[in-house]
Amino acid sequence: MLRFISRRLLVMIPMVLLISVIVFFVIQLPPGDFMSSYIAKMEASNEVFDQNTIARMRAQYGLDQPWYVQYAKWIAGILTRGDFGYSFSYNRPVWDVLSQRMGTTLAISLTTMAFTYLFSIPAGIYSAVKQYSFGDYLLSVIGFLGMGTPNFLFAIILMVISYNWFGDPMLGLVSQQFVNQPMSWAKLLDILKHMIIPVIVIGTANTCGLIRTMRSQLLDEISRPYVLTARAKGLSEKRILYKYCVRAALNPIASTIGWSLTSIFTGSTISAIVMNLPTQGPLLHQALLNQDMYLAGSWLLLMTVMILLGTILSDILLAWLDPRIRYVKAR
Amino acid sequence: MNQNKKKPQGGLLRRLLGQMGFLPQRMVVDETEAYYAASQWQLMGRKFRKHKLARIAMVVLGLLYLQALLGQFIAPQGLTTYSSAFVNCGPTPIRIVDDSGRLRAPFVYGIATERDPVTMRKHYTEDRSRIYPIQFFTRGEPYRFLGLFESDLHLFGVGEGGRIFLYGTDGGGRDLFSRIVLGSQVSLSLPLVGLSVSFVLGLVIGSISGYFGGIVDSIIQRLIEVLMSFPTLPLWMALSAAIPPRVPMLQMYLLITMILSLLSWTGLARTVRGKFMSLREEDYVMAARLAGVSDRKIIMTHLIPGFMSYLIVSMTMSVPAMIIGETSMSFLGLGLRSPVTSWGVLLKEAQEIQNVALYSWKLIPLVYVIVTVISFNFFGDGLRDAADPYT
Amino acid sequence: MTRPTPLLSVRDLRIDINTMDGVLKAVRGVDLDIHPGKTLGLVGESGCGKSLTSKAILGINPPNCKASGSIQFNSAAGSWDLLALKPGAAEIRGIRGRRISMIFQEPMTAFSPLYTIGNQISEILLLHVTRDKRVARAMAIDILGRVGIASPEKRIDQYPHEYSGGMLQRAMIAMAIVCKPELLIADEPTTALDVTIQAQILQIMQELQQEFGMAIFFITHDMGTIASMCDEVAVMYLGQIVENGPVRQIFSQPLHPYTRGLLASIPRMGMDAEERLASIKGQVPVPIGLPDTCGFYPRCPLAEEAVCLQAPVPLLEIEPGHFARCFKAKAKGGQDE
Repeated sequence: MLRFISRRLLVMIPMVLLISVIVFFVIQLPPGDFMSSYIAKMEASNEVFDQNTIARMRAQYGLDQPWYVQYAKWIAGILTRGDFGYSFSYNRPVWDVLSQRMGTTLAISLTTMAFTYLFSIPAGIYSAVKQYSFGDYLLSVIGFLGMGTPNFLFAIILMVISYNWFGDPMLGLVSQQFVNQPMSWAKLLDILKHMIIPVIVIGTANTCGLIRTMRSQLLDEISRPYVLTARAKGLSEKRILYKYCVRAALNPIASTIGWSLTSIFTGSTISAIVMNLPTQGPLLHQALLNQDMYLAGSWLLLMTVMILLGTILSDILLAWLDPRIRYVKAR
Repeated sequence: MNQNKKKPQGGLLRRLLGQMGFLPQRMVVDETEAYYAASQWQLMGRKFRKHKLARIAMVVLGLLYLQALLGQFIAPQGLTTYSSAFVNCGPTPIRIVDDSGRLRAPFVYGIATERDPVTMRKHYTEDRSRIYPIQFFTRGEPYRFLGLFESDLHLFGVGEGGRIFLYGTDGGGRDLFSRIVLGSQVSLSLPLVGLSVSFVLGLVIGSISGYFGGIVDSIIQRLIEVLMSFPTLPLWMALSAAIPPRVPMLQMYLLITMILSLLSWTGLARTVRGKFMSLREEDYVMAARLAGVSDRKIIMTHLIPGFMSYLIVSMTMSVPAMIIGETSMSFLGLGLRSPVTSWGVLLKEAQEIQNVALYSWKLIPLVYVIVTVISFNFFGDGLRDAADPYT
Repeated sequence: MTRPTPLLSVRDLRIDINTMDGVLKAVRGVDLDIHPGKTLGLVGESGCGKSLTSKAILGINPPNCKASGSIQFNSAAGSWDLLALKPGAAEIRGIRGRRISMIFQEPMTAFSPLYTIGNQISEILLLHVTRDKRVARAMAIDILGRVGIASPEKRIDQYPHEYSGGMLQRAMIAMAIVCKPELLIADEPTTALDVTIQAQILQIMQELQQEFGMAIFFITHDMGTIASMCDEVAVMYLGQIVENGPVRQIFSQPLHPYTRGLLASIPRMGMDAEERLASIKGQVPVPIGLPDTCGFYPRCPLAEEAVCLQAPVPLLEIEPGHFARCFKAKAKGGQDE
């Protein structure tokens, strides 16, 4: 097992390097750079820069060099010093900007994930056991609606409803009056209130997908020959369902935990922008609009690495849960 | 269904079944005979028709695409037409009973404008003194129909002086209904174009990978792995941020399409490769090879028909992601931009919650997106069930 | 001929399957008797309803199969009409695995891949025989040794995928007989196995039958296996028993043209290499909307409309203890004697 994990991690290294090249290439694609978009903004407010200042600032940030030189410096900085570059628009190192939002991103993602699994697994079991019942149809319809509605549009709908009913669209993660307050019960309650819409919005698509997967997996398992064997042994239907079928159907589901966390991370990007959450999503949006290239590049690179790690985690989980794969890997 | 595919498939199947002794000389029941004799595509059609939701979805999609095709004719106004007098005007109610309680053909009242003295916002009310009956096939704004010929015929309209805004107007005083109808030309065609691109990419790259194997295969597989590990939406965002703001409309459309299809061919290529690998081991391919059939011919006549239905299904299933991708990026201002009009571009006005709360009709494009996506989901679901006709 | 009370007697068993294309009459009035300690073979082509018949005894057919008739089980512990018991309820579950057990065709898929063989064998013991996990484990090791699995104390903690097909079938038999049932149903237990292993499995089953004295209901499509295993044979075609009798008589004096077809299609020693194996023309029709008259008529070499299509054919006792569902067989049997 340890060998399997370390081999997977080793394979990751060249991939991550290749990915970092692609990411950097994409990020520097837009015409112009941070300076030109910055100057355009400044000129709009009637500030004038002379060419020398601009050239000096470009040189200071290394923007006057070809992209591969910039890339080499950037990746060297990451590898040697863990320095992800400098965010022009925040005037701070990129790592500072990113890590500041890590806590909220993780909190929202983990809450959403808990909600997703706690709801979808029982719902999937119900749907499979009572196949073609009213409840099954209802869950299917909700599932299709949930998968069909783009997350961010769903967010708008919920916020409009909240605005119309409570007079507050629940933007952000905390109300205005609590922003600079120390933590208190009232603030916690406020944060929890603000979490409702994000958790529903971000979780729905995954939940609906999971219900359907759980349902079809379980239906698959219920029709396997070993169920007949178990029945012929005299086991009760309930025991057959939980000891054999559900356990088997859960394997692929449980193994999705790895990538489901990262998909929540990245999938929530747009919803987070719409809901103005203090998470990673809006950061990328701003960075792209401002041509804050190191921030955008590092963001994409880190997310991709997380997806890769998530996939490895999923594989490990699957191997650990399923004796057949465990066996093959061990040989 | 696919008519030109029907013949060779059915013929081959029948021949095969006949050779294997599955087609009996004499059947006891007529119904079973029909079952054995039906071609694969007929069976698929029959099974698809049993899927009620998929049938409904197909009708809905057909209507949507018909509406997009006839866009200029259905929309009462063009994309650029605006009237500053009717900014953020609500949907015009269509009446059939007038003030005197008399039933008459559908009509609308004139629109009266007044300003709220406190908020300075415009209010629109019905001017009950003016009545405009709705006319069908009226003359209105001239347009070029599908770039083929000039016309000024519109499906409906009201007479001179009257206004009809089925879905209200936007912040620029443009008719939302017209913009949705015309926007559907972009929103509905883009996924299909993108799909064709990724279909070809996936098929070609997957076939190469699967047929040749070896080093070509491993290089392609590593490339696919790298592409697959990117977070889709953020990478789409980053790529479309690279589109210069002032490119011509057609170019912008093509660029966005390319970006959308750039990431979506990988899954398809993988399945094609997998199918190739497993099909290579099949006896009938081996038999063809022993009979001296050339590789190219084996691919074209045996391998590709062998998983065509599967490919079509999986492509249909990936349409929704493309629609959502385009809508989200346009919504964020990173994808299509005005003057190109898609549903996502229209939804940009819904970014401000307060704006939506005041002018709720600005969410109508959202309904179109959801209906389209769900219809494609059901349609794909029905196709998937049907693609396995013998189960 | 007076015979002791059968252990299991099936009377007029009918199974209808509701499908999208209509009601499929899979089993159409089957009568069978299984005597204590004896082996009854049920032979027929795939899809003739033999598997459904065997599963109906335990009440483990899928819910869209509607069974009617009666299945009287006269066990040492009491008598039940198995069909009248509520499927899935405690009463029939106490019989399943304990008094009547079953082994299946595909040993590779009949075990859950997620639990060890030991776990799955102990489970049945913990359910019916003992509550002590250590006792159950010891019994499981013992029974694995008896079905010929080497070093069972090590093998017991292995997963199904670590066993070969033949070993899995042995484990399956072990699991079926560990509670010492009175009746063992074997649904094509050797079909999925290599020929050499088939013979070993059959031998083990015979040895265990002698040791435990259980009755075996042996389902197969292979006439050769029937000859070596069974005391009595029932031949099934299209949901009906077409011939029924002691194994000797059926092999030496087959009465129904279908049985003759089956026997003619077995390769024999000393057969001329040029000689083609006989086969039955046509194929089994889908049993939807069938007429009540002879089901074999469209494929029968002796078919004669005036005789065969007059009425539904009853099971006729052609010679003592030997039945056939064929008007022609009667005539011919008479001439032959």
